[in-house]
Amino acid sequence: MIVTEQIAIDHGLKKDEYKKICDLLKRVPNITELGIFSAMWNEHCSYKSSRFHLKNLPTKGKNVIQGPGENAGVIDIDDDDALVFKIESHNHPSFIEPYQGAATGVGGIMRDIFTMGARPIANLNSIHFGSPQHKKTRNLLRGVVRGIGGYGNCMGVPTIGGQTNFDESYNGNILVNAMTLGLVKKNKIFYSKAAGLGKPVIYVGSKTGRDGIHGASMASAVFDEKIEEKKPTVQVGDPFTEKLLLEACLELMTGDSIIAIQDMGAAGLTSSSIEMASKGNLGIEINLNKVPCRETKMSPYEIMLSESQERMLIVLENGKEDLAKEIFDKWNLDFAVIGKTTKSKKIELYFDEKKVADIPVNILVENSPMYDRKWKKSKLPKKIKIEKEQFKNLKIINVLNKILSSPNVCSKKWIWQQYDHTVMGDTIQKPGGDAGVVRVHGTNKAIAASVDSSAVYCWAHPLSGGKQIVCESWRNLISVGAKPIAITNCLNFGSPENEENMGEFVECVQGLSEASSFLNFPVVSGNVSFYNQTKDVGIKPTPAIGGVGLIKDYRNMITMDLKAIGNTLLVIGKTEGHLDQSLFSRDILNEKNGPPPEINLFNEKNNGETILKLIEKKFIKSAHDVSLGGIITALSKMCISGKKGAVLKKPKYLINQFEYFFGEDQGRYIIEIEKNNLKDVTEILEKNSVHYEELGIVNDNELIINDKSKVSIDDLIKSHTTWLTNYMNK
Amino acid sequence: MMPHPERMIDPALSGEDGSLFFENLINNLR
Repeated sequence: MIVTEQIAIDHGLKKDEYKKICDLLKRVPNITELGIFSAMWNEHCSYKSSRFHLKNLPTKGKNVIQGPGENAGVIDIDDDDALVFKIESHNHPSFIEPYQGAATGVGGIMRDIFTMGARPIANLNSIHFGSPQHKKTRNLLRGVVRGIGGYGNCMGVPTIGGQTNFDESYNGNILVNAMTLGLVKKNKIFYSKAAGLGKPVIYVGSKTGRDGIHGASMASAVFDEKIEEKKPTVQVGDPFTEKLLLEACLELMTGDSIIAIQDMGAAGLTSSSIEMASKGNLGIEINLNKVPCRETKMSPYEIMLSESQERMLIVLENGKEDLAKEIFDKWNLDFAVIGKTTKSKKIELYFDEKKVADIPVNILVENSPMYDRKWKKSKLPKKIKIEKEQFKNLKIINVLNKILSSPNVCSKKWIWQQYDHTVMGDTIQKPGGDAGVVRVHGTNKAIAASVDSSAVYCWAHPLSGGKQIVCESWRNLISVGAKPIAITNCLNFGSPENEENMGEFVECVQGLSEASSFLNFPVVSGNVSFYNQTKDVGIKPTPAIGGVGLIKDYRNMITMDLKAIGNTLLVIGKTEGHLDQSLFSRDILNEKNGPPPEINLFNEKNNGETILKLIEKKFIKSAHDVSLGGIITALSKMCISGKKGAVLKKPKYLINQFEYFFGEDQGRYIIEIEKNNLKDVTEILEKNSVHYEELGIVNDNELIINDKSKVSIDDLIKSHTTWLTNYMNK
Repeated sequence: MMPHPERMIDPALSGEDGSLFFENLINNLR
């Protein structure tokens, strides 16, 4: 087949990109080469619209061992231990085929982790669906949850947390972001940089099929009415093979055979071989006849672009082939020496004794397009003046019940009970809390992790929303007693070719950058997913942040359930009653406009660090951050978890009770302390200039706001737990 | 779901009820 400009366009390349390829090669590429360029230069693999802005993110810190650029980020967690973690999107395939899309998303991110020598110890996920009323939502949710559980459970890795949101902007483009944490010894971390000439290049894992061809290109395109036709581009996962691959790789990693290792994820053999060669400033020669294939008559184009799952590419030390083969044979996995490293600095492919591709690696990587796209700056919306009339007919308990049973606040137990969250025997805080917590096996240390997004705030004002989501992640870790260390981000946006969408991306990244710099909470890994768009309609900007923190002694971990009747409840951080963009404003008043709450990074840091001091001194019995739904929603969740009530004091401030209880001012926590420690605690708070107020005391089985507003905990539990189960059983 | 007594052998996890299973097993083997 002779390649033409139209064929290049059909591969997702732009006219000028195709011209650049011809100019750089000084000839027209053949079809295999064009396939390789289209895979390496698509948005998903090349980050061509985002690289320019991502470089501003803070990626260094005292605990950072490896920042972005490798398969995953690595941080120091004391002693000889390091934590490897990353979040990645699998949005497009999950919409087309929810079970396999979500399952292979989980499989892919776990491979990224064990590629670096780490054993996966926990999974999390952030999933976003369209309106519950949309005809596709229920089945998409069911398929995605089964897919996540199906893969993670079979791998024997606990799913310890996550978040699920519904919003009509995801009607045509759901989001499925999967995160994995893995443990490794600091001196046994593996990287993807090839080194040395004539070193054998090894293919291991499953055989290559025709599934997933052009998966990465599909993930870099806008959806249209023909989206169902793209089903063949969705990969098919097999967790049992991945489990074998995990054990085989970790066994090989105990020795000194491996020079470099890279999983075959997006763009399969193409990206894995080229990335290894590029990082090592080497060439790679591959004989495609040696690649184990499960289908007959696969062409070089198909072999290079297949995204069959559970495969790895390894550069071995010379003479270690037999040892490695023995290990992979034992685990019943394919093993083939398919090529070698060369000094040519080219990717050279052979098939049926003919050279079928010959491309300098630097053309594919360093010369890949990078765009500084046009973007539109957003204005901070004007504050909405809410008339007193609008509050007049509202009853606080009715509003609270409505918020607790709303899709974005209600209990997600229907989801997480399908995930095995206790396998491996180290989960000490299961899903449903502020953060999932797992012990570092055999030590007193524990790792806390949470994943968060707040698309509504980002949509209202991307800069503030970007800051807020980092702060929320920070708060969730603080709330369980963990010192926040680093984050991974999954940046889900619409088309970068649209100035407004691009503006949302640029300003969210600025916000993330400002907040993570100030909080010493660096970004060590991540992923960008653009083109979450159907025709002209993009999703709300949805950066998902996976935060990780360390608890030095797991016995000091904090949970949100109220502990003892008579204990005092304090609100940490100032309540000013910000209702714009709050759940109250949107769901109760039906007001969708206005600015998101302001972020004060100084207070955020100061409040969080002071809470950690109180935890260290063992003053805090339970804690929960105040987020969606305000103080009363946060307190209700503490009551529900602890099956205890609370009697509240009358608020001192000159704001109405709806603003006080449902306002979403940032940087706040509710903490439970013993009454006799009140003086010591308030002294510490005052010494650290932290604003606080007494909220009330823990009660038996009723939440009493005032004489007229009270509700039993059983009723709160009913409101909180029934919506999702009922919805899924319809 | 199958019961997993090995996941209930530590108060920090979800309780110690599972220990009973293993204690009985060991005692009967003695």
